[in-house]
Amino acid sequence: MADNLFLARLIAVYLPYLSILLLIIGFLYRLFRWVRVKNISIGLSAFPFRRETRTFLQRVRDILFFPTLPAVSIPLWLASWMMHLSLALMLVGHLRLISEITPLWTLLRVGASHIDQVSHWTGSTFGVIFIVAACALLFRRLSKKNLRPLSIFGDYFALSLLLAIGLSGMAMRFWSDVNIKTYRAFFLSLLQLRAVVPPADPLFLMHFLLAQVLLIYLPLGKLVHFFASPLTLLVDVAMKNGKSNPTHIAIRQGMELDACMHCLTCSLRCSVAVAFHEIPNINIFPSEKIAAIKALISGKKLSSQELRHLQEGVYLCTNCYRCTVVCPVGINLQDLWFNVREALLQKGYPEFLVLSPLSFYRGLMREETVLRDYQKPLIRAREAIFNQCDLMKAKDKVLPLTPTDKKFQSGLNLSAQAKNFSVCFGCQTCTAVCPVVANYENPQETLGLLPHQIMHATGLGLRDLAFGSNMLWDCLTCYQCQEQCPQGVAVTDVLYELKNLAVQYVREKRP
Amino acid sequence: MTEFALFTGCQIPARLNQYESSARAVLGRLGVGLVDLREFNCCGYPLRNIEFRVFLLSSARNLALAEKRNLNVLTLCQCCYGTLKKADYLLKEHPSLKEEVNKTLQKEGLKYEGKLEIKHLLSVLYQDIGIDRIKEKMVKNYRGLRMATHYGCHVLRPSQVVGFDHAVAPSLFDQLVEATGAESMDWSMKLECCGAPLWGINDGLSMDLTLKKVVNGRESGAEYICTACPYCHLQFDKVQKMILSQRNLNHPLPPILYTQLLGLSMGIDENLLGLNMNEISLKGIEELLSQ
Repeated sequence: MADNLFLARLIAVYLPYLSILLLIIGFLYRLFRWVRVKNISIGLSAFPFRRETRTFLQRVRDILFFPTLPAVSIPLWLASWMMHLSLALMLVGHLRLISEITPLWTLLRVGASHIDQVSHWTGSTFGVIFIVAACALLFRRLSKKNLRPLSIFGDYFALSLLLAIGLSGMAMRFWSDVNIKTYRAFFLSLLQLRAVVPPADPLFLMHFLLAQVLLIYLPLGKLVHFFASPLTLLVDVAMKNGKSNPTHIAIRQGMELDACMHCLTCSLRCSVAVAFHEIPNINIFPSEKIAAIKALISGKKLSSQELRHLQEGVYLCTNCYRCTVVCPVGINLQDLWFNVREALLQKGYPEFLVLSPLSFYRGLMREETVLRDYQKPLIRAREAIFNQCDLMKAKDKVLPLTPTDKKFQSGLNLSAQAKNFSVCFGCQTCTAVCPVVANYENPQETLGLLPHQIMHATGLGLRDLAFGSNMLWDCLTCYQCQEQCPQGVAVTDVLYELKNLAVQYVREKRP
Repeated sequence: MTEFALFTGCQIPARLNQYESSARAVLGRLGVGLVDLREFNCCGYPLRNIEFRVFLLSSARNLALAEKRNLNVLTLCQCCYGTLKKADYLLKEHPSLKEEVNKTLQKEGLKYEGKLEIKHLLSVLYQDIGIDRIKEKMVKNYRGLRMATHYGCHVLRPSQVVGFDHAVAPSLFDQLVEATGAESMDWSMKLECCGAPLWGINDGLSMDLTLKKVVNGRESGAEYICTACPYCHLQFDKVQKMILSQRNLNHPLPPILYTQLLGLSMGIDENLLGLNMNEISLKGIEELLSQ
């Protein structure tokens, strides 16, 4: 008996003070992290804030109704909105533990004698709704094939914790004899720092313990979103397009990362998520990029492999803004990607995707990147390829025609679109019609091998010459050469093919 | 009524809203129904340089999504068009590729069969609607408007794959421009590349090519350049603006999207056509319209 009393006092009398203390420390730590964002090495503050500005009222509507979600999925919107609504109403109901909420009852015209009854029925109804909604969200993560691999322990933990609190609360409603006056007296004494004996109901102790676990966990895990999301949305109102103080932008970006609920809406709508089937890099998904960037910001040292993965993930993006448009908590993902991309590109790992039209957006934004070195990543990627092509360095020497790389020749039918380079008879029509070649007085100096020479080098299996020429990466893919080739060589497609193979080859050589 | 799945791609919703809104307005007047499939992803064009398999899968997924709804695809972008066409061609030519792609698509309950048609906006206007019906919907005509018509590479070539118009002597777009009363100029660089595929990869070279086209178009007497592709348009709009401040170019050749050009002559509201969203001003073009 004494043991039980001790346990009850531990949970209900001593622990609450510790929980509150930990909650406060946790929040202070969060605030500290937001302010610190500008100082960390990734440098999130270079990019001006850019999005249509929303009014205060629009933002309040965003906070109250999650208007971006119905377009993504109506069941998702319904479940999450119901969950938030019932949670809010139940929190209001719990105020009764401290004092009777008389103004509310007056407003609702509930007579004094009916308060307990009304409170019981609304509480029970929304308790059930809350449990159903939480189960639906759990079910969503478990049942959807494309969501399950992305959901992590934190997602299940947060949902399960909320569900457990809801269930234990409901259990109290049905099985415990809850006398509101006793409970009110207890909580008042707790507030007044007068330790007394708590109600000795095990269900209550369980419910109260779980609620305290939630309090402690709140600032530590993803549930900090309940605080960070509305704040992010509201701060948005005060931000001016392109004019805000960089420090403020950085703080907002720190806040945004904490606003993320890992709801995976962005990943479901991502334009390039399909690439994951072929490239097993989880950072292709916007939601997972956020997770990696969070880790980076919290000071975690990522290995060079992890950094390169993140770099590839943020570069494999068409900048279509879909993630930013659908994010229910208003995270400006697009700007975040841009910042992280530029910061990572300066770290020195060659990123071959910069040599693709994915760079179009970076080009349009080049004036935003002048603070950093715009050209460096482009040069570095070309150099990384060139450096693996030994023959390109032997400028004055006569090239050995043997041994030719037979594997290279046979390796050229990856796409089955570029097999016919060998029928080239060297008429140079492709080179003559190429607008890139025509742009230079001495094209070989700038471009290396010209199109007809590349066809020939490919035919001879001279891999280094084909891979190492600037011509490959300066090809417009305008298909003039292929259209006009009298032999029907798919010149442009061969160039496409060589670009793919060159990157593959270099990646294999320098893991 | 003809119905298509509208494939907007990635550039248009993010950076060229006026193309989508003007295209919807124009097609609406012409009685073309558009269905939005929000599951569409990137066509795969930007990945062709480096990740061939991602390109193929991306295109195939889009085609499979449209097939599932029994719809043909309408693209507004030359590069999306060329890329979807290329993937369609490859998958039809090489059963083994098709089988592999379908194995992956199957995980999402999708299947590419190759039964649908991929069309660019311009070919829908020219073939499915026809110039006569377009003219019926026009309320005004341009007088004395000299236009440089810019086709864009990826609808024209490779002709074996795209089948849009004659690759060397096309006339489809010129006819559409002339239907509005404008004069489509004869200029030597009409079929050349705008430079956009290298923007962001080799900006100097890309600017050289854009500048050459702008100068050549100007020399032919054209006052505007007509586009029907987001890459070409952004290149002649945003990049030309950068060229104006960095290179020796006194008079720009302002780009106008074909849907904006046609929309004005149909009497569609300027705001819906987004004329003021173009960075190089189109001021004065409405004054060339007469009843």
